[in-house]
Amino acid sequence: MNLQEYNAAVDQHADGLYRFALKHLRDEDQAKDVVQDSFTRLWVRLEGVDGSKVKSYLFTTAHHLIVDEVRKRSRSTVMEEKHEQLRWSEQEQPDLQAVLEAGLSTLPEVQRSVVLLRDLEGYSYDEIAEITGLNLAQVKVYIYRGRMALKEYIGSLDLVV
Amino acid sequence: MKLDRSTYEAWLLDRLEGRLSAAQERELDTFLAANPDLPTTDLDAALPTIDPAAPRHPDKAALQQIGDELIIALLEGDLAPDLQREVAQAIAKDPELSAMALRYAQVRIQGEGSFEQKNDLLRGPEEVPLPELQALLIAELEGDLSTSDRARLDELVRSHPEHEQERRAFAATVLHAPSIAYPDKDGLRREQGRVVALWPRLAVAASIAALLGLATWLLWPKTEHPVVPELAGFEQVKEETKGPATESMVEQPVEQDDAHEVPIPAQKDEAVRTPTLVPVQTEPRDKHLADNANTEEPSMEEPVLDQAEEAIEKQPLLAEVEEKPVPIDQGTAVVEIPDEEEELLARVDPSPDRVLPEREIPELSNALVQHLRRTVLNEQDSRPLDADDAVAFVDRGIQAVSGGMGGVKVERQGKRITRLHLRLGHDLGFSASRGR
Repeated sequence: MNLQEYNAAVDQHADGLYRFALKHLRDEDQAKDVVQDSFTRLWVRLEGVDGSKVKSYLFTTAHHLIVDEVRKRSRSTVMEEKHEQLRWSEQEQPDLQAVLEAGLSTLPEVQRSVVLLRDLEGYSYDEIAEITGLNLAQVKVYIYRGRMALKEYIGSLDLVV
Repeated sequence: MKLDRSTYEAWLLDRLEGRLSAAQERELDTFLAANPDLPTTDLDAALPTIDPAAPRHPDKAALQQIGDELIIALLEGDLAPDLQREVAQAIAKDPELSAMALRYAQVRIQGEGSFEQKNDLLRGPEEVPLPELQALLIAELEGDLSTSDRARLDELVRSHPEHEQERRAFAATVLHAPSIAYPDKDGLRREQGRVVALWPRLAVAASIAALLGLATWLLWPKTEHPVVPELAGFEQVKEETKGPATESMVEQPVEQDDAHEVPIPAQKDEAVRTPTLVPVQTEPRDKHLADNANTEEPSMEEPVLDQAEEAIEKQPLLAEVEEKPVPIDQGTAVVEIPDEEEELLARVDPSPDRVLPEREIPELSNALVQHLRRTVLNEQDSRPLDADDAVAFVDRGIQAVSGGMGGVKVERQGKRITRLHLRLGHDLGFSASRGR
């Protein structure tokens, strides 16, 4: 990659990368850090990254950073999420997408990643497998389980019917 | 069957029906010849014959006389079709037979009640296992349905309308990308840059920092722990007091010198106050020394050595001083002696070499410090080096190496460093801050 391709990658993928991190971490500052770190690593390894695979490189880097962050966060109880879930349950008619995002936070991190990559970025199974380091069958299974869990989550709130 | 007098008739019937073999025929003839008393009637004449032309009942009117059996047989469905039809016609023509048939029909017991859960036992179209349905619905959502799977799912949903709700539930699990944009995209862009290897610059920066740190440590005035030379000098003076009687000790108070680097606290603890003793002549040689000698008004007859020993006892131990570097007391400061007084002391002191080296070292270091300040920092300042000077040296060094694009910056809150920013070039910098 060169300088122009790098800046083009910023224009094309920074927003998506930020959405991916934000939906995953639900923390704006941490999401910004993930985006900055991802592009910094891309800049450092600029000459070694193929321009056609820059999006995959960025999302792979972001995925690893997010997983590290989630694991650090899991060592401490995240009471904010508990409170947020409680708030959803107290509302009579919450927004479906908001509830869906709350349900997303209940998924294991790998399931969350594959569902987000699938829905937000429209990645194929192969691309998701490359980003997450899973094989094709695992990606399909995790998406299946994620869909099932999300359906159960929003189904319990009688939002669909 | 054995042929004898009781069974020979059966043998005769079998002969008439042609069932006997030739041997049995001969055996029967032999038996009849041996028993002539047995009647040998003509069996053919005794048996009745059936006229095949008249198979029907010879008297149809007789049927009406046994109507009950025929009517019951009719109701039970036991009659042959032709006879059933004839009997039914006869019943229809005769009112008595009709009434009789009605009575027989009414006495038939009718079944009552029904199995209420019969509908549960009914089987409709093919039942669908739930996992298969869910797998098909998710595959539909992900666009993975084959043509056959698509047909199968459509058929399942068509035959089971309740599955449409399941279909909508899965469709609702799809996340929609929000219109969120990264707020600081400009900060990610690079105007002009090149990929640089990290380790050479780090190595250069570390080398510069190490050299400057070493130089700073070597040139740093030893005033932060002045007790050590002070004690050594004191012991030296103490030994000298045992020498010629022409010398005595005069307690000389340490004067507050604003130009001195070592800060002297305003409040002084008398317990740790240590007088600085310098060897002087018994009689003051000039007015300056006389003034100093009169300031504290020491008694010439008092044993000054005792005061010194007492001061040593009151002075904190070396280990304690090293553990507590902060309190630098007035009494532990190095005394600045005017040059003319120094010359005077050199003249009167029989062995000036024992005292002068203690002051030559800081003077040499001060000279080097001033030289460094003047040449590196472009400053004219005689105070000793401090931490800010060390940072300034490192900053200048990195600037020189990086062509003016690098440097180091330290932010403090009081004496506490809160942030350190090291910049090694246009696009390379490191920041470290103290955690919350």
